[in-house]
Amino acid sequence: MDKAKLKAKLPLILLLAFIIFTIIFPLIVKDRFLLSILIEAGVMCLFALGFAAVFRSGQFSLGQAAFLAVGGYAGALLASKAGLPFWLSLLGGGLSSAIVAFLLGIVILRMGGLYFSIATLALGEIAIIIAKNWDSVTSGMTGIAVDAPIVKIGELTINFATTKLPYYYIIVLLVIMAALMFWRIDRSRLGTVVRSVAVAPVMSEHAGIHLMKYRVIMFTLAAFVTGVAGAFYVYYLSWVGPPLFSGAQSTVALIMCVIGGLWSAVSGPIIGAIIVSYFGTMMQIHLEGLRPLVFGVLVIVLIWFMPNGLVELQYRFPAWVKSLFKKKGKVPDAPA
Amino acid sequence: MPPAIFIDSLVLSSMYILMASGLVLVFSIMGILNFAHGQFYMLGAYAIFYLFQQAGINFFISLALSAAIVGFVGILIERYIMRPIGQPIQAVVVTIALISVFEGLITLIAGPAPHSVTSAFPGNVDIFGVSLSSERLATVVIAVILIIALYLFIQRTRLGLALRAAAQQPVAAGLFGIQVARVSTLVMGIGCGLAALAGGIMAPMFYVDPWIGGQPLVMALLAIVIGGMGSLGGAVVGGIVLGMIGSMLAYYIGFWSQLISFGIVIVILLFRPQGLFGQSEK
Repeated sequence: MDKAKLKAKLPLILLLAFIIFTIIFPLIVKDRFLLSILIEAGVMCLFALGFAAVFRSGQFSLGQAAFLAVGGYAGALLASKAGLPFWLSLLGGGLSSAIVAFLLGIVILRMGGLYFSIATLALGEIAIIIAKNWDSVTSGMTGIAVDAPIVKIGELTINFATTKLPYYYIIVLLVIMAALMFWRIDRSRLGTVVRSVAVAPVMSEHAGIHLMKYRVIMFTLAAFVTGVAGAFYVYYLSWVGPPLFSGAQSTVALIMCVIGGLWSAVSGPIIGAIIVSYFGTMMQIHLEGLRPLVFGVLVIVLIWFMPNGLVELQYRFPAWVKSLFKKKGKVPDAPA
Repeated sequence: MPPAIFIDSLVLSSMYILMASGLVLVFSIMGILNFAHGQFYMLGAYAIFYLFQQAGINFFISLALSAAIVGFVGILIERYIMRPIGQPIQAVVVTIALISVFEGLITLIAGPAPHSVTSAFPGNVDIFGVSLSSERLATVVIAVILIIALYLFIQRTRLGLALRAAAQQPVAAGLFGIQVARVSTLVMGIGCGLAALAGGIMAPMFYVDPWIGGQPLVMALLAIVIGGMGSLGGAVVGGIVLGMIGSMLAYYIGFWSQLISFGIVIVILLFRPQGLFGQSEK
């Protein structure tokens, strides 16, 4: 294989290597605590991917945690009251979140820009108020307990209560599926249209594109992914309650996306989510009271040096390596 | 309706209006929402706690001092953090990161325990045979004076004119010799100072802890969209609407009034997406 072909295949090879690494990682490193951090990071990946999807259609949602809550409560109710199996509850969480997002979306997406952001902020608060006060369904602050699922595949029985490993593989699978979906959308005609809706709404409308249609599509898809994440999270914690879905969660998604890099649909949010949740948890343990201060300062410093996110490193790093091997003192001529 | 509830709603309204007008000012010039605005409110409350409660300085002097200090912090942040970063989304995330910076810093300095501030105006006054808490009345009066002063500053001074010009047409204002960058630094200072004043006058009525900034920020955001983005009058109307709903409905129907406040915002935005007094956005 010649060099050019190898270079073109490199991202794919690296990606495959990364996926294989994530699959065999827990088999090599047997650290229960690290595993639990990674599972939460996976949930955050889905959450950040959802935020990024809405962002790519030009809208800035400040209430994504509401959809995490809808998915979480729907999943918990389906599992504990209706007794549905694990997979169906996950799907049910995603679907109910998507339905809520669709119905709300056709109404609130009509207000563009900042008004949409504030409306979603209000929605996030409404979700928490309902969760806290609708005692007959959500049991208020006590929340709903969910039993760990027992999945039977043929002869094989997996009891989720004894080991966290199945959760890890399921969330890895979910993240890969969501990433593939958003990546495909980004590369397709739909992705192109969505980008044009975001960048030039007036022009797109003149070109015959129905703005609302594409905004609602992206909003609903994002809510579906977020809802599945919510249902999974509830299963993983075996409990659901209002504190899980505070308004601060929605801003965390934004921080993750910007740190990872907002201009890439998939890799930015995933990288950001993993890094923020890993270091966030580590800081929580080692710094305790100092944590908010250090976290905030680190975020500001990162944005200062890499305003386009960590994804930028893939361009910066090779340039930096090249600059090391160049002879010193030899300034290239300025282009004419 | 008991008069005490009415004065309560006025107190809440004046807090929301002071917060919202600072947010609107910063938004109109810099084009971003300052999510750390609530934390400047919290800093103002702590400044009153230290200056008025601990050091025993006169209430009005400590108010002015706290506004000056917090305003200066705002100016430093605009000049040395926001302006070098420049891009709007990144700047918004910086303000979100500033929330945890300020909360963490104050927790370190003052501890997580809530403090209370003694009232500067104890006792009650009788107006037309109705006994009202003089502290609450004084708060409303101070807020009204501040809002009128802000209005006069924006409408009647040369600096206010420069500010309006920079908000409307930054490039054209620059061509006419207005230093837009300097104006935006000043506006950030004024906005943060207003938030600090709101925190300062509210501190004796509520307790003071590192996390009090969250609720006023959300309400101020709702107030500015009810009124319409970028207009001071809109911020005033939005603040009054939310304050009235917040305390009167709470008196009659309890906790669910919060749901109605948020619901009403969405309903208003549905029928007038540009806010009650705003210009429509593209």
